[in-house]
Amino acid sequence: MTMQTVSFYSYKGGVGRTLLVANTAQFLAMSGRRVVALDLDLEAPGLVHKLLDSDTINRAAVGELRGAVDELLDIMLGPPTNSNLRDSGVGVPLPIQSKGSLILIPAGSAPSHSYWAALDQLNSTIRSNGRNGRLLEAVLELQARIEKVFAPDYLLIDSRTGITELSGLATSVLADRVVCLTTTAPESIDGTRVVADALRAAPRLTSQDPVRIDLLVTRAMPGFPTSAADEKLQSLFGGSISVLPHDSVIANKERVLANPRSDRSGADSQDSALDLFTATLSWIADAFPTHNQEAASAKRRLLAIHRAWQELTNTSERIGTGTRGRSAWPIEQLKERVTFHKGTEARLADIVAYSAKPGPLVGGPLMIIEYIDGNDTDAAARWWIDGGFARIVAIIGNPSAGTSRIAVYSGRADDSRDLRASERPDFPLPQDFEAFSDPANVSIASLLAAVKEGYTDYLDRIVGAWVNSVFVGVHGGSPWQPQVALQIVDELARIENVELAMEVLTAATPDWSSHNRTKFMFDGGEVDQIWTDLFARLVWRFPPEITCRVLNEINPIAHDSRARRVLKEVARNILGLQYDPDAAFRRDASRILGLDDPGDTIHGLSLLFRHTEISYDITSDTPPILSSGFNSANKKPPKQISSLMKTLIESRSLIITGLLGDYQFRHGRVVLHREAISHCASLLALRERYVGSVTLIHQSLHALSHLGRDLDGAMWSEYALPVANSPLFEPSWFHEALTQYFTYRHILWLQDRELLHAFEIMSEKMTPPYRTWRRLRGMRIEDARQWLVSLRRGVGDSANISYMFYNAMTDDT
Amino acid sequence: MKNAEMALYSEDELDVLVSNAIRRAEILDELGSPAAQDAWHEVMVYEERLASILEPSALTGGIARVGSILAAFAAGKRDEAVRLASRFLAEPSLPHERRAAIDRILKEDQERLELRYPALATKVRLSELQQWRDEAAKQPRVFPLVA
Repeated sequence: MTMQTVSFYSYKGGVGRTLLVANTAQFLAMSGRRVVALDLDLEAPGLVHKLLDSDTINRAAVGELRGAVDELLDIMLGPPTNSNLRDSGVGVPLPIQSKGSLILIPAGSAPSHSYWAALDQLNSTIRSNGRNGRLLEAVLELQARIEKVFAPDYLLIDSRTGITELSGLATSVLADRVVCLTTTAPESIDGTRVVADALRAAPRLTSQDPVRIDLLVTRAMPGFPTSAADEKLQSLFGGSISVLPHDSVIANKERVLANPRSDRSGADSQDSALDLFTATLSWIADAFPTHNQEAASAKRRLLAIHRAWQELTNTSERIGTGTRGRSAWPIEQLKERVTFHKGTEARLADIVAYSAKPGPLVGGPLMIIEYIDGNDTDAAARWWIDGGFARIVAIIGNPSAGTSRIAVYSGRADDSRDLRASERPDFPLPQDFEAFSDPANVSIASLLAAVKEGYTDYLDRIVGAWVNSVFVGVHGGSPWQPQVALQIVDELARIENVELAMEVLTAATPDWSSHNRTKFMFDGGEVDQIWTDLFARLVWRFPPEITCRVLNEINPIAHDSRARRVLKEVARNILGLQYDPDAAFRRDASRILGLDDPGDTIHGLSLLFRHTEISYDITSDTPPILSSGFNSANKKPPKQISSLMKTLIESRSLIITGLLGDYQFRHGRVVLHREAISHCASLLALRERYVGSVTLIHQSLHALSHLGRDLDGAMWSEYALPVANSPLFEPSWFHEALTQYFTYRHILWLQDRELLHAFEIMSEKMTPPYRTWRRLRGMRIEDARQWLVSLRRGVGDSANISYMFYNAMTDDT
Repeated sequence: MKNAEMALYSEDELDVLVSNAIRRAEILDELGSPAAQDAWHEVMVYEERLASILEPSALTGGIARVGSILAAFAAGKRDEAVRLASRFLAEPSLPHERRAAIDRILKEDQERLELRYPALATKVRLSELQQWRDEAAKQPRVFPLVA
């Protein structure tokens, strides 16, 4: 095939010309063609940045690169027979499967000082020296040498913009074909028209056919060519204009395969970049018909790498119908087309992600990404892993070849270099390399371990995994995995760090008003289930300090705070009551204001009247039962709490109310006694957090039994538990037995074995009412609720359930 | 210097001027000075003037013709040299040895160009480039800008 020279020209800069040269060169090379790309934009060279890696660019910066300027000077001034052209050609790495080749002849060592000095010398020579011929002969000689030395199928020239001697030669006498790029700006159109007319009329050498001119409109806005200006463009250049769409980011920050900017936000800009890229490739494929199969493969590869780059650098991700930020790969940690050597073999990595180091430089490779058009992804991954080039290898597959889109592989941590395929469907991000021992492993256990190490960014993913394991079919048929859901809750509940636990709860909060609503695309029922089965469970299972903190949350705006919702759940699901502290206020306020539907304003005002809201406290004060001056059992002076606790436990006389905790019904306050709980836990060989949680749940149920509303909306306003610091204090047997039964049911629902174990051990050492639950395990919760209601209404003694409770208590041994 | 002014000089005066100009150009050439080309251009101007006032068949007229072509090449004015050669070769009274000298100068220049542009020389006749350049210069277009 005779070499065909194609010059890319634009009257104005910033139209994406160099980017198009680079993409065309790559496409043709990957399609099996031998290609040389020549940078003749000598005053503002940039092709090297589009096609070569940073090492080569760095060489240019220190003056180590030869290029077109050096060649032209050699031709015009050097010894006549000397040719260093091979030294000026830099091979551009191509994928292993590529049958073609791509050589770049850069402008020179721009932007080093030596380059500008050489360019100045060239310009002086062009102006003054005619003995050895002029620029015309020199550029034609360079073209002829390129054909002789490299024998390419295509010579692609990145021409200077504007009207200059060199751009004139590049487009008129050097080119078999000129691609003129223009935007829709009037000055660009006018200039391009003048140049195109001149080129059509320019003389040709006798050996040359008439020049072919392709017009390409870039950065076209949506709707082109409907506007009057665009119609003018059509009339000027005829109907064969190709159009590339506009992309605001790439328009200014172009790169070969991808968009290097990380400041994109939202999906639209990504789509426009993809549109541009797809259109560009389509134009190239149409403009340079080549082997169909290879061309299709090259197009797939370029698109796949483009998408991969976008995924790696995208700082936002789509969640439901919204987006959220994420820690993407910084541009400076990514490189395209890096060749690695293993013995005599070499392989091209399409993208390499490097570790960060202080300063502008980057550390060693962390992840290697290669596109494989066929189905030998495992073999490719093994090559990389065997070579020990990086911890992670991601192979981008061709789905039409039966491979998954992304396959992530890792070697073993012990560096035995065994290949391990991951189920991970996405590229690991920088943080994954810090948070995980194996970034390819994003199992639930691995995610949970990372979260416990403080990498709370993974909480959303864990909650997502819980959701997927619970809601069958909602997300594309994910399998129902209740054991996975249980494992997630169990592991999260083991967290003891308060701040971390609060972050867990934030991630698990399905809030209708925030992005969480869209996070998992739920309807109302599913949100309720997340509240109940994930959030509320975690609240009760976390250590009491955390539970108290959450339950003390008051949202002055929304009447339905997280705390209230949690308490409502318990009131409804365990006690069968409605917990609604503001109900009486709203009813009264509504009546006063004459409103049928009291709104948020009234809820706001309710803060002034709220006295039925349950509050929580963990105190180091002396428990009431001790501060009263009397011991309920023997009416003797108070002992030290440790000795008292020991005595109570040994005599199976331990109680919760008044000792481990208390419900102060006059204030709606639940109090935990830290010291008593600590001693109790120590004596029973239990963990303090579980003794505290049992106490907290028990007292909360006391509170909800008191403040919860019956079907008629009434509270148990006459609840008359004796005050615990009264000399006459005696825990109410019925109340405690009933509350313990509900406590048991609640713990059962929490599915916390360690908490249940603590509850069982504690109750074993307690007075008979606290042990009654064991004999009533089989009793339906509805019956217990009925008895509770009867008790609240003062008719409890007459109910059959009362008899059951009484027998259970008195028969206990 | 305008042609009218040049016409005021006699042959003897021009001989002195051209001798000095040649001497200066040779010295500048030896020094590698960029001014050498301008100096050779000056030589070309004097030689061309001498050629215009001297008969081709005269010894001095023949020397001036050959000298003007050599000076034009040395000045980097290949177009001008070719134009002068074409004009002088068209003079019927130009002696054979002068005609041969001019042909040799043109041939040597062609060989020098072929040596400097070897790859190009295998593809096109280098003389064709001058034609292309002449045609391009006639185009009333902005492109190509080829001086």
